[in-house]
Amino acid sequence: MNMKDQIRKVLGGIDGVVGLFYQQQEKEGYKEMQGLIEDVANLMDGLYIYAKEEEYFNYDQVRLVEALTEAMNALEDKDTILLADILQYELSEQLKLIEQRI
Amino acid sequence: MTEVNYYEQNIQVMKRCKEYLYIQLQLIPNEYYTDLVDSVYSIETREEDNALCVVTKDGENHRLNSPFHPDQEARRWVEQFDFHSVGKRFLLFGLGNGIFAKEILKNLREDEILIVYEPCGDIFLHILNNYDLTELLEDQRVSITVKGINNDEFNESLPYYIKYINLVSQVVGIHPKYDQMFPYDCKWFYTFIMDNRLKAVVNKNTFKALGQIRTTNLLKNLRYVGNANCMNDYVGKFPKEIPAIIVSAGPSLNKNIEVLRQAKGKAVIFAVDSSLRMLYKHNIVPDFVVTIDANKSPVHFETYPESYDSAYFCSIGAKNSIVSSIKGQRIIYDSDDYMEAVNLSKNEGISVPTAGSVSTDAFSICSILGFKKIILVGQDLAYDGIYTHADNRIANDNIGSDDQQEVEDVHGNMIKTRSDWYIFLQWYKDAVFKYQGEVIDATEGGAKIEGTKILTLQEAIEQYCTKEFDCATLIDELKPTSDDLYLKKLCKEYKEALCELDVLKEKAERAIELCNSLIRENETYSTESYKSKQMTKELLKLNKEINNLKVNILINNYIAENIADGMMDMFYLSGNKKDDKLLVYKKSLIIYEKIPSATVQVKGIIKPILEELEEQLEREKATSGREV
Repeated sequence: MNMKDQIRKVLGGIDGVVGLFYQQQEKEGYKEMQGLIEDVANLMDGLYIYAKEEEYFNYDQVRLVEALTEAMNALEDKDTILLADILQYELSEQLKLIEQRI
Repeated sequence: MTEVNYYEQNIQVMKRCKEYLYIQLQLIPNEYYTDLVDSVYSIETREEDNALCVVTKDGENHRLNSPFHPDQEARRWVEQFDFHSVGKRFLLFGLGNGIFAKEILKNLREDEILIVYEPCGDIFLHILNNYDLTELLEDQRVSITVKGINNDEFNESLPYYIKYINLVSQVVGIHPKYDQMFPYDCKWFYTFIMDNRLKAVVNKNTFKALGQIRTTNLLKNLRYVGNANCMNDYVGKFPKEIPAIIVSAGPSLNKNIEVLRQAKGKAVIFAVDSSLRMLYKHNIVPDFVVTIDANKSPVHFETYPESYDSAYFCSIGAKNSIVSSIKGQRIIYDSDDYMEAVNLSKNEGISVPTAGSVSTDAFSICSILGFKKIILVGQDLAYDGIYTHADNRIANDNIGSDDQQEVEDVHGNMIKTRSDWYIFLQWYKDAVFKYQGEVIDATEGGAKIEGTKILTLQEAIEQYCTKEFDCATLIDELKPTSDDLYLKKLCKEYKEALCELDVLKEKAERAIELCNSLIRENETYSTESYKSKQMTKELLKLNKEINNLKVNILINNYIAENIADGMMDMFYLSGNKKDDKLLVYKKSLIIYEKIPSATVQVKGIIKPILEELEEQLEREKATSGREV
């Protein structure tokens, strides 16, 4: 799977999880989250390698990690609405910017 | 937030558009607070120029909205609900800052309703002061109840807006976080909705089963209204210190019926018809009998035919063979849409709240008549072992064990009841709460009726039946004079009804032709043709004309058992215009097809009654030698 496809997969996953949490379907949301976390972890690894291989490509890794950290904090606090917000407005936005640069 | 006086803006609109809420709000003290929450405050959101509400409860903060985009959160939240039905009734637990309610309104049509229940007055007052609620307050589709401020509104809105016919259109939503903050109120909210749903289903089944019989009874009983008393004749006529005793036929009546004799002449005894055999078996003659059932077995009366000598409170739809056999004074206590449409009702301005049982009707009657003490006897609303009624009777009502549930009895133990009794128990709970007097449950068994004082019948009689009262003299004094004008008017209305029935038959037959053509067109072509549009226009016009016929009220009730389920299905749409139109045509056809034969049958009922009435008027004219 190429980088763009990986990013789109994660974006799709985020949209699904966000919808579930906003609709208070927490059990289903957490279930989907498990798969999303794995996809995000793979994407982070992929982006790191891609940046090393492609000279022209760079991305704000710090901001991305900050967003992920906030998301994980919200997940730990079981604050599903805040988690949905961070996924939707922080992480999603960062990934869309990165996708445009690829 | 900008400096806007939200409170003033909201109050002005509330005063104009939500008058009851406004009036009740004025009654609460300035320093009002509940002990449900620690605090309520608002903070700005991260992204928009917006605010979100935070509630601190038991030391924990609950954010009621998204800290980023509350509007977008509300939009995604609303997507989970199915808005395909028509006539939607959306029930929302929790108002919050109104953002979720506003989003729901965007999905409701003009004739649909949003009923909001806010369990916390503190939250409501904070929102009133800090958010613009004018859109919600102004919208006629919105009903807002705040616990502790205008509780009645929710209790009355639900049964008013949600009936069996639009049950499929009911949508229930819980504002995020409200179920966690107010679990007890949330459970109450769901229970209330389920109880209302159950009542609506029972009403549907009753409507369905008895439509034809009740309509036939109505047409045959109208002749008695002229010589009968109405509720207004009796309101306020009983001394305030005299209690009413309502004798129902529950199994506990076996225990204390002999004691009831002591109350004769010191209370007004209302016997529900099923209790007559027990009463007469023990030589106890009630002051009034109450009968409502359209298809009551005459065995309750004919085992002791002298029971017909009593004064009777009758429903206009009660079994005609019983109403016509009454020798004592008739008091017709209710009305009917048809009676009111043709101005034949004598009970204008009086509505007897009914749950469909003779006992609950008796309670409503006693309440309206002005009794300040009502004593219930034989009101078990539960099984006594396997028995359902006094005299060790087991009613063959086809109620299976699946339909049973457990409730608390008068001794604090659990006892089995059934679905219809459960509904009556809920009805009593509301009725006793609203009643401006004292209710004593002297059943000495059965389900506990919330709000009643539990005594033995002996104790109740010793405490409340202390003054003498001659009810028979009152009944005699209140007897109306014969009303020949009423009979003349009835004949005129029946003649008009016969003509209207012919017109209705003709219009229904044309409607059937149109529906069949529209169904053929819809199934043949993918888009709507000009011809289809014209036929639809004609059908709508016909429908309006049919609804304007007074006699249509009679026919609707007459054919109810054939169309009740079909009418419910018509409220659910798939979202595909073509399919939905086809559904409406097919369902409409089912209804129209019932009308022609119904008009012939109803004509067959009215004609002989009209002939008899005209002969009666002729005889009276000949006897009195004057024009009547």
